[in-house]
Amino acid sequence: MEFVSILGGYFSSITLCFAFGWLSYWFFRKFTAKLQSRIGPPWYQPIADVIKLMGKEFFVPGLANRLVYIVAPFVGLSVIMVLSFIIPPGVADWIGSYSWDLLVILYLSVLSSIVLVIAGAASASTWGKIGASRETAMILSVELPLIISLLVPSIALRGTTFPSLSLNDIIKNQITGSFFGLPNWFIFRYPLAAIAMLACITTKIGVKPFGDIPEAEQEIIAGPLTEYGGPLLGIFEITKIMKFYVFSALFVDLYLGGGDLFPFPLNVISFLIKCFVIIVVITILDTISARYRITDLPKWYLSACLVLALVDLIRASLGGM
Amino acid sequence: MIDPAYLVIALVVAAFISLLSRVNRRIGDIIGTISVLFVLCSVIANMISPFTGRSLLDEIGFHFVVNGYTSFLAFVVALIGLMVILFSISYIEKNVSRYYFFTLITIAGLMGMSYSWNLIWLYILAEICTICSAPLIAHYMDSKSIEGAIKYLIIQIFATAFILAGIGIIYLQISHSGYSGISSLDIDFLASSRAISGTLGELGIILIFIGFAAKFPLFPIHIWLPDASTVAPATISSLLHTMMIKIAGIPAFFILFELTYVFRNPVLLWLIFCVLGVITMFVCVTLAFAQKDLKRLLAYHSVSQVGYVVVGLGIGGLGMAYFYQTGDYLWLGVASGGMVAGLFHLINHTIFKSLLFFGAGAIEYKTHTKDISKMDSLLRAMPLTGIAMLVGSLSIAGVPLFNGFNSKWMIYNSCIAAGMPIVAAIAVLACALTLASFLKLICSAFLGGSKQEKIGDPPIPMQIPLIILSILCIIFGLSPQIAVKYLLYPATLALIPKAVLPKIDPYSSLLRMFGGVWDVYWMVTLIVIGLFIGYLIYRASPKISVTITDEKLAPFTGGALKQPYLRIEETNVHPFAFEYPFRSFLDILKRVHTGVVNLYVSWIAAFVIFLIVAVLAGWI
Repeated sequence: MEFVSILGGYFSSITLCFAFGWLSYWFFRKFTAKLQSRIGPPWYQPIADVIKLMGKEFFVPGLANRLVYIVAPFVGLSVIMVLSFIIPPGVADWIGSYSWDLLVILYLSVLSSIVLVIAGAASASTWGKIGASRETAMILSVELPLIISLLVPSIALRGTTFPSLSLNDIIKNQITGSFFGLPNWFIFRYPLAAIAMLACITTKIGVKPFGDIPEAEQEIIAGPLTEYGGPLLGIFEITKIMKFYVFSALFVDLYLGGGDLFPFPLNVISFLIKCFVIIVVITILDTISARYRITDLPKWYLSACLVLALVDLIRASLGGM
Repeated sequence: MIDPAYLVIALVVAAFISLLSRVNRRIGDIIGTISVLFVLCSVIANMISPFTGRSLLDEIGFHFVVNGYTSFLAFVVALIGLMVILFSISYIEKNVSRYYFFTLITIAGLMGMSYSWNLIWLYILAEICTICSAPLIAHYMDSKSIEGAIKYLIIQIFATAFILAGIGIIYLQISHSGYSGISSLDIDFLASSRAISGTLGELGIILIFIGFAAKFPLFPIHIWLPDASTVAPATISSLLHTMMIKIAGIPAFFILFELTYVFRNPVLLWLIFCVLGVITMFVCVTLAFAQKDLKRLLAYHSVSQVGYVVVGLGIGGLGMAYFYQTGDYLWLGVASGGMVAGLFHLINHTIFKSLLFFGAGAIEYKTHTKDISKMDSLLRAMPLTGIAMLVGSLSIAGVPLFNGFNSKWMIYNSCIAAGMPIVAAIAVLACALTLASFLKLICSAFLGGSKQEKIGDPPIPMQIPLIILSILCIIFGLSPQIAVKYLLYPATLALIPKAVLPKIDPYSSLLRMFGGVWDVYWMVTLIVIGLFIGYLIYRASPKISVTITDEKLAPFTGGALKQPYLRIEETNVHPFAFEYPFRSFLDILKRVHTGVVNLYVSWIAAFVIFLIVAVLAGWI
């Protein structure tokens, strides 16, 4: 019986993730276009792209490693699906959440980047390799600020005994109480770590200022995915669409209080509105920023971002000073 | 239930019989395999029903103790020993009799070390292992390998001399208390009689710690390992990296743990232990990042991975120290969690590092190179070796569903539970660096893109260990509960003092307090379902015939590059951007790793002086 409900939760969260990701990806492109005084695509554009790719010819470059080349996109997709299930849609006691799940989330999100690295290297293309190299640099730079800003809320939860690494506890802690008249969200209590986390998720989703460095079309065609085409590229496209939901949901659960104290359908809606706000912020960031060089990526993330996150980690360890 | 003495004796006898392989090398192959297989079976038998009687070798003071902890160590020795012997059957071609003799004696010594709880015998067996592995490092007998062996001997013997000094000091103290004889140096006797005390006792234990810490290559004493293992045959590198540094080094932890009562400030002692682990982890992974030689890269990584083991075990000790200070049973949960994590990483590292070294050996056997930038498309050229190395790389990099992830996850959890999130963050960064350097290896050596003829896999005796170890990696990755239940939980129970045991069940407290082990089953189910959905989406596309493009069609590079498929240096598959901010740090590290033995010995001396000052000043 439990298995059935887990399965039901899994499929519904995949559906939610895909639907929300689709709309937010469309919004991302449309809003960017409006900001740049263009018309922009119609609402069905993301799914139309995927369907078009699905109808294309399937090919493997002759020198590519065939097995890895074909399997990599599926692994990436399934990792994102599992992530969409583990991260609760703003609901406390969500069926997919699980004690000590923050580190699993961190690792699965790294795995989704590793898939790109391995796919790029397996495609036997120079551009793929350069893209893979840049993706690796990105993993290295983002990992440390990301783990610290993930840990800040869990350290802040530490009452008398031990910290908790469960998203569930973090949501529950935020939906009760208040902080100087404001809601008891961690973004108000630990704003610096929230900024670091926002910077990290833009990179994880793959939008500017730093996220598109591995796929810089002006320099290296399409980075790791240069050789990909047809259905396999379609799978990668779906993964990208779903990433829009997964990482903004993670931010909302950690720092924006999930879905608040509303009853069932309302809390998910409130959660999705918050996610949408994150998407708006990300879109604006993407539009107003120029491309950066690859050397800027570790420089910014391992200095500014890391310091922001560390300051709040120290504050959290000292009990919210 | 078998007397552990027979295991040691069987291995020694087998070593002498294997000298006959000068006549026919098959004698050495067969007797080596049979003896180690016998030892493995006996160890497993001892795990099921422990030997309780008085051992044969106790007459001369070995003091063999059979419990969960010692059986765990013996299991590691026997498992990897069997793999080493199997791999040697076709890997070693020259000087077979000498090779088997010294290998079997080393395994016998390690087997004795894992069961023995007597200080003086631990010292003697450690020296036997050290001296017997020197001719193995110099196996090829060229100038480089002899240099490596001599370096190894100098540093090891310099460091182990401190063990003897420490034992001298302790024996002086206990003889003042009226105890004498070799059995007064049994570790459990020292722990229960509380005969050691004062600054002098602390000094003695710290000196013993330093001696064993040189085997367990903690940060300032790690320098011998990469030099020694680069020149040795792959089997011996594996022996050194997985068994010498773990089994011969773990008394450094164990003696500190059992004799913590001597110290006035045990919390600080264990904090120093953890900090040494963290420094080891981070510095050595940074060094590994800059390597091009495959074996040297693996060597630096194993020092770095030992850092994880040390952090886990250190949290075990720290939790116990806090427990004695506060009397709060929650700390006992942290302690058992840390110990389980450390020991789990120990066995996981043993498995995947031997797998990687065997893979490197197989590559060297077929292609005669150790230089990563000369390897290409190995996954296509040597499929089985390639897949095995891929599994090993993903395991060491801590990718979920492989064994490295489970133990690293438990280590992060215990760091956070012990209130050290910064340590967890550094450990995650070190893990990311490990991942990056193995992605570099996978991308350039295994995936590659050039057309290469099919080299083929090594002979079957070399394939068997690769297959077995890969399967173990995946089993412990998919189902850590097996390892925790049958290996680690008994080992941890044997370490926690009997007095507190009846009051608490560490396993349930572990699970409750601490997240316990990662419940992988439903995660695997979800991932499989995800893969299936992806496959369905892919099947839904109308054209699914696979076209493989002509191999002549290289990607269009606009004439910018002469050769479309570039080597590792030119494409910068290593994240050069990351090296840039760390270049000054790397330069400092390069300057102190000169390869000159005098410098290394003075490092050790400086470390010893630091610890002695710390003891005399009353800090710990």
